[in-house]
Amino acid sequence: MSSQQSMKKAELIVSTVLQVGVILSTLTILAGTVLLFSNMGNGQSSYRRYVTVNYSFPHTISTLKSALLAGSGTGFIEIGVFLLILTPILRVATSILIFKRQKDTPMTLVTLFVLLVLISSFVLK
Amino acid sequence: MSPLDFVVSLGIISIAAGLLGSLVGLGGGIIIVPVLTLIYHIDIRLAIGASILSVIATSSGAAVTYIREHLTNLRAGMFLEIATTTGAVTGAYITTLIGSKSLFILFAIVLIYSAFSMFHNRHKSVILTDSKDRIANYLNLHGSYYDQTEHQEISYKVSGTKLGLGLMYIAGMISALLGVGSGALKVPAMDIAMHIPIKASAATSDFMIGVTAAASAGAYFARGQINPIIAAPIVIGVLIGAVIGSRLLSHVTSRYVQGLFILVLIVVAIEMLQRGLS
Repeated sequence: MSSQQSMKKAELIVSTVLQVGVILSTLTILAGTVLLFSNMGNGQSSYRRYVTVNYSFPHTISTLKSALLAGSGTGFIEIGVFLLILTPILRVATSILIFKRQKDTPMTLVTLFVLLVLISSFVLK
Repeated sequence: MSPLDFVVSLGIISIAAGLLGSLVGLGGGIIIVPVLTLIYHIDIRLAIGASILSVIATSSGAAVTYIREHLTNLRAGMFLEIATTTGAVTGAYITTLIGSKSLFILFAIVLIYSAFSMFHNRHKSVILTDSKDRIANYLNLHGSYYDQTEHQEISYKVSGTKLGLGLMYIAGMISALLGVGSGALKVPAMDIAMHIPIKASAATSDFMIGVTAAASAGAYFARGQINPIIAAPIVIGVLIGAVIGSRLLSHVTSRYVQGLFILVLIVVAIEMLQRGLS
């Protein structure tokens, strides 16, 4: 396989990873939004109640789990958001495998370094 | 305003933000933060959390189209991510040392400088046919794309990788400090310093900003700074806008993209100066 052909194949794989991540995230957020509004009813409340710093919503593993089991809309939205954040990281991880398969050692090391820095950024904070 | 009106109106504004963001290689956070704080009176901390999400949404939404149209320079993008991610990590530490007001002023100065130099170089966007840059040759960072407005394949050689890396490091730092994608710095770094044509620079910047943003988004998520009622319309709106914008980029002329970009740079610079001086 020529280097141009293999680069085109790599491009297709990387864009597919991004596409799948985006679609899954969108569908989960849409489902969450529909759930949220169907549970909210037709009360005359203002949006401000939901967007203050004090408004609590699930954002840790244990609260997310119980929110999903309870069928809460905000829980589904947060899972969709989490999928969106994971997508670029997954894209970097996929690139490492692609470059490794192409036996492109310098680029494998470059992407591996990027992934390590990304992981460390989650651990360090 | 009812919660439903809030979600629908914010969704429509987000479509516009995603459209503009994907066209010029910025994250759209530049629009989201002032909209949330000034129009909807939302706390700045929640606005920054939502802004970082809009950056990832623009990046992932637009990158799908750009990669398939071969506009994105994948190798150069991944190589430069070395500098943006390390910059983002160091940026998180530096925040504690420098006051945020001086940061905003510094950011504004950098933006005005890049707007000026881009305007100055506007008509001579030099495309290199040969490069003596050892890193670019070793890693084969050169690229080509088919320009649909000029109806020809544009091949370009990359140079200035060391200067590019340095500028990307600063871009990564500012991204972590201010919660933006800092495409405003990434595009000039590629276009001016590395001789990557403006459209390829915008597409590659869009590709890279998602990774830079993901480096800080995890922390915002865990701290509970990503409110679901704000996030839902922004993510969906920005994604729709980014998909439309990315299909437009290959059909508009490079001069139009540059002009739009310079305009956005100036608006953002004024906004940053205001924050720094208030």
